[in-house]
Amino acid sequence: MLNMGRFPVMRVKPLIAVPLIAIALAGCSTQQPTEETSTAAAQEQPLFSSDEEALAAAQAAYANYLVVSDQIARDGGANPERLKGLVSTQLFEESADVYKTYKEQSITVEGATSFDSLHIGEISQNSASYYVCLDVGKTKLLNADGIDVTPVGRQSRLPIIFEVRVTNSSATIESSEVWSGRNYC
Amino acid sequence: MALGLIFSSINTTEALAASGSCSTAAAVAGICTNAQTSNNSVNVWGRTTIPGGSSSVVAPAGRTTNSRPAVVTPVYFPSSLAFRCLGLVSPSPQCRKTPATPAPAPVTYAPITLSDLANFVPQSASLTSQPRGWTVVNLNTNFIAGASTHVVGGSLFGRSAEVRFTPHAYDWNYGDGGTQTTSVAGARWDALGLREFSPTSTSHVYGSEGSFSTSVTVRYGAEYRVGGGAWIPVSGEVSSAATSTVVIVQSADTVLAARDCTAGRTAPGC
Repeated sequence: MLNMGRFPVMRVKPLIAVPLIAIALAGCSTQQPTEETSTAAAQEQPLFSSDEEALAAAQAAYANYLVVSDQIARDGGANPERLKGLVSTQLFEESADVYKTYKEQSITVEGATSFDSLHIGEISQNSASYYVCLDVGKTKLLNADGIDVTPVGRQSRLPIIFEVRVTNSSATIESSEVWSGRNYC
Repeated sequence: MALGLIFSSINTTEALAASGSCSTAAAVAGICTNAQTSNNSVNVWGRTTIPGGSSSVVAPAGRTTNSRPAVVTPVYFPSSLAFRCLGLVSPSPQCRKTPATPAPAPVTYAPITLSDLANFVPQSASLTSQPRGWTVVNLNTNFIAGASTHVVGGSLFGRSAEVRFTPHAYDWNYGDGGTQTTSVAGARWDALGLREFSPTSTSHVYGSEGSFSTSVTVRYGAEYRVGGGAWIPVSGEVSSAATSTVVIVQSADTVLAARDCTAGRTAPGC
């Protein structure tokens, strides 16, 4: 079981400033996970001890994901390997495809993404899903000449459902999909 | 009735490959899709358009213009329709929908939006009654709808597109003013282990003689996928076209007869 105490426990704010959370994460990342037992009783314990803890874990993992994604985009898609370990193999490959295009077409991204309205979807034995509003409205795609080539009709706020997989030592973003129901963002 | 998949995005085919998956990188690039139901139809879209521009200097706000002879180059993601249609990859039949490459400077050009539409209509249910075609006043008439999970295929921007329909509910209209909604399609009396004219979850009792048109409409849940990816649920339900059958309702009297009346019309009691 993951020692969730290494994530900052906080209430979700209407708007989450990603860089601040990244700093918080950096401060927490040096802590060592505590020892755990493998008894049957431990196996039956819930993934998180409270909803606040579940939200804090997702908040930290998703914020870290956005911070690293933003940095790669700012670097024109260079070194997408920085996402490895933060996301699943599939999500990494999907992201890497996009960054490859950035690189080939000399696209860089200015600005930062953010998220808000984080809600718990479902918590299972070793993963949990969450709803969130992803805001990309403050980012711009720039070509090699510094000209804004952001797609004209780009949706700036997307309803996203993402899954966090929790292992002994980490929480990774397993998947990220556009919510197919009513747009709650 | 119809499921309409509407794509209006130059980069949609890229998003289609992701089949609903939306990384942050894809969201920033504007190539994520979404889907919603509306009036028994489903619209799936990717809100992206090739940006327009001008051969004159186009600079982000706050910058001073200079002599850069720029034409804004749209961002083409590999496998996107525009990418192929501009000859960067193999041309596809859909390329006829692609406006010509913007002419060199000095001209202005409008944003380009590509769209495609495919309609996906769920199958109607079959409908049978017991007894078949006739029944008796004040006795239960059993109705059975035939509907099952099925996949309807099509194509969108040259890629395979499928919608899977799963029956959720059955709306019955018995033609005499009686209606009900059931979660089951109904089953034959013998399959249920019941005697004839027994009540079932889908049966109905007619209170008077006449000819009645009974109909059933199936409400389906829908999922879609493009390019053989994972199924993506679509919120809401889609109704099939109604299926009807005519039932003749007659009165019946119980009498004692010497023998089977159908065998001998002159038998006492017939």
